Amino acid sequence: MLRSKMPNIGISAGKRDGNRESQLSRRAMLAGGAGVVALVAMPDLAPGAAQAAAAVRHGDAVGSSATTSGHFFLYGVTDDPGHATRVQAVQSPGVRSAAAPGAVSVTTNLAATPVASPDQSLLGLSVVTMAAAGATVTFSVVSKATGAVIRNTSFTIPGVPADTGILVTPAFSPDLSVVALVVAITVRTAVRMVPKLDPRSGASQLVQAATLRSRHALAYLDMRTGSLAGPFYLADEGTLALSTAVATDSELFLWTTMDPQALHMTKGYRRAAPLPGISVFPFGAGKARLTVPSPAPWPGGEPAVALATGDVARLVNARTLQVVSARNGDLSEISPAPLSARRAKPTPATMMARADGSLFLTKAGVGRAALVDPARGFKVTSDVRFPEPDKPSGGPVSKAVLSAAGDRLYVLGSAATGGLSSYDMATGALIASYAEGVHYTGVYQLASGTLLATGARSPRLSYFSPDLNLLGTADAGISVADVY
Amino acid sequence: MAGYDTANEIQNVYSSAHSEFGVSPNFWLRYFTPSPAADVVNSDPVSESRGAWDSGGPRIGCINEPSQSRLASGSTAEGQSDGQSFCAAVYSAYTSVGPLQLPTNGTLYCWLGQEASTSLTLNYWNGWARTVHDYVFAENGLSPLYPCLYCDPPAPPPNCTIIQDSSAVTCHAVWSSEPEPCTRSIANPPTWNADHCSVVPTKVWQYAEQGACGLSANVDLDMGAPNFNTANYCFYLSSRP
Repeated sequence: MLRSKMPNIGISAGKRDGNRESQLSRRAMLAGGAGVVALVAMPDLAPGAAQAAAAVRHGDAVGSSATTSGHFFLYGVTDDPGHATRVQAVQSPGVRSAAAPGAVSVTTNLAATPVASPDQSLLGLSVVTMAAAGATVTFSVVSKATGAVIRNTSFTIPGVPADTGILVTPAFSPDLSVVALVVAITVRTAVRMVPKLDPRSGASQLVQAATLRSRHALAYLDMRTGSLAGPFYLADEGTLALSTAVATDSELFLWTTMDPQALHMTKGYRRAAPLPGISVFPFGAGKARLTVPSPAPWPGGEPAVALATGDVARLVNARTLQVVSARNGDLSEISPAPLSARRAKPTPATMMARADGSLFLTKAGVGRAALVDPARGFKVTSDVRFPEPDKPSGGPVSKAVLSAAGDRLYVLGSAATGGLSSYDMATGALIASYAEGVHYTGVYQLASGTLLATGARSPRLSYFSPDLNLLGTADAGISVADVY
Repeated sequence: MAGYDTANEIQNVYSSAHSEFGVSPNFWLRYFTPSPAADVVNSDPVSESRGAWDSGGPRIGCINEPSQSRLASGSTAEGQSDGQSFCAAVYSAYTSVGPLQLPTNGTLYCWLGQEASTSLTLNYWNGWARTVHDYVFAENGLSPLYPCLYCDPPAPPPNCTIIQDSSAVTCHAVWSSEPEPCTRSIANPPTWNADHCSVVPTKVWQYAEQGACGLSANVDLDMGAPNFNTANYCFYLSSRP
């Protein structure tokens, strides 16, 4: 088992002597005061998971081949230290006796939002440090089962100014053999003083302005050997930094867009806006084997997955699948009926590729979750309707989850009642509901099968059994953006 | 002085909005890339602008609502890259539509969308807001973009505390999503009562959301603060494209 070379990532990095561990972690987490972004490991409250978590805290499981550490990872923003970490079990005596302080490890210096592998077993974490020699990108892969850092690599981008923006976008191959790293390098150029109105006074004043110039580099981490290929610098200066990246088992698919300023677009009637392009890179390559234009919209945070067919798909405008052929880049668009409804507010949709090749799609803002089968022309094989939850547009994005067996859907309760509900995925029938007036903001299913609901007000974590009995509540002192 | 915001193309919703509310809006607030849960203006800016003209409300304001988990990023680079794409999208729409003009006051408010349960960090805000503030239109050398925040000021996750931090890039205005009296009219909007932060002024109020207020058309209803005309801080159309 590899140990982390990074002193502050991974459960193995934490001290493990009871309460002191949590205090140290809290101190680290709050080192920068309120508003620090933190990744925190929290214990699951399921009986078996709690015992495993206790083992981790006492050093028994870290680095072992345990299938679960009984932990999950919270990503979010710390609040003031007055929000003490606390875990409270409410039903199971076993759970109550095992209750312990929550956060057991933390990192606070991530350079990008964590990315989970397609099977959710691994977590990719990026750190960027700037020095005179350039920008050093360090990428770590954490096993969610053990909490240990299993791969760690770094490379330097030389000769970039200290204020360069470095954005790392990892893409795991579905077979977990390779992680492709897309690194956007953005430099402030043409820094100058320009006149700008002060809207409060109406006076013009000189302010600093700059033009951002971006390009990309690629690197490939071989998960079997730990070796790194790259970085390969693409000849794409003038693109925008934001990209969408998807890895198949052998290639990287990359959506980018040219900056209209770099295209010297000037004002004219009916001049077409630039379209994105899709480039396909075999693993280990710095040159695309194929580049084709893509329909709008520009890349920027839309869900994208590799399909079991070897093709890739991105979900745009929260309702349309753009499917790209791995063979020749041909693109087709499919609009699954369950996602077709639209609302005045942005209505996020999620997409997850399942082991059986199906796609699990959700759009909580219109009260729909569905399974589609790409092998059968994206036929909708399950379609569940549920009442729209309160404020479905905000974070975390996970408002509906599918059980591991694929037979049960867990969703946030309606705007009227809050709570959680479960549905039979095959029939769409309501199975169970829990509501006591709390509007949760997100729902996740942990490896143990325990459901975790996040909330905006303390206690911000609520644990439920799969049949929606409340197991306990906790608060890690952070406002949760996502759970891994 | 009320208008609409919508995640749909204007050309596809203005008729139903007119049927429901009976008058032309004063402005439209619309989404630009990267707003992955919305239809974005820059995908087809000409049709969108025609829709705004035909609606009788030929003003288009600019919203950016990235994936909400990104707003919680500790990385300035994530805010910067979102801001870069957003500014490029705004500029692309501007250059693609001849009659789409910058506000006569030279001030185009740009709204970062932070939903109620979303956390915002200082690093993200500064990366996004600095990029927006510093952006210069190559077409004319102007720097017309001003960073602002759409949020629910009393919501628990960090919002006002971030934009009012002493090291924060200036936030020029707040667009508040609360409270929601659900007044179903843009001809007779409610008396101004928007929630606010302690320092940054609230200039726009979303007083009726479609979902919470049971509106039929795919629009939310918005109004400007007293003595603030939201339309003056939007693109305007000098003719039908």
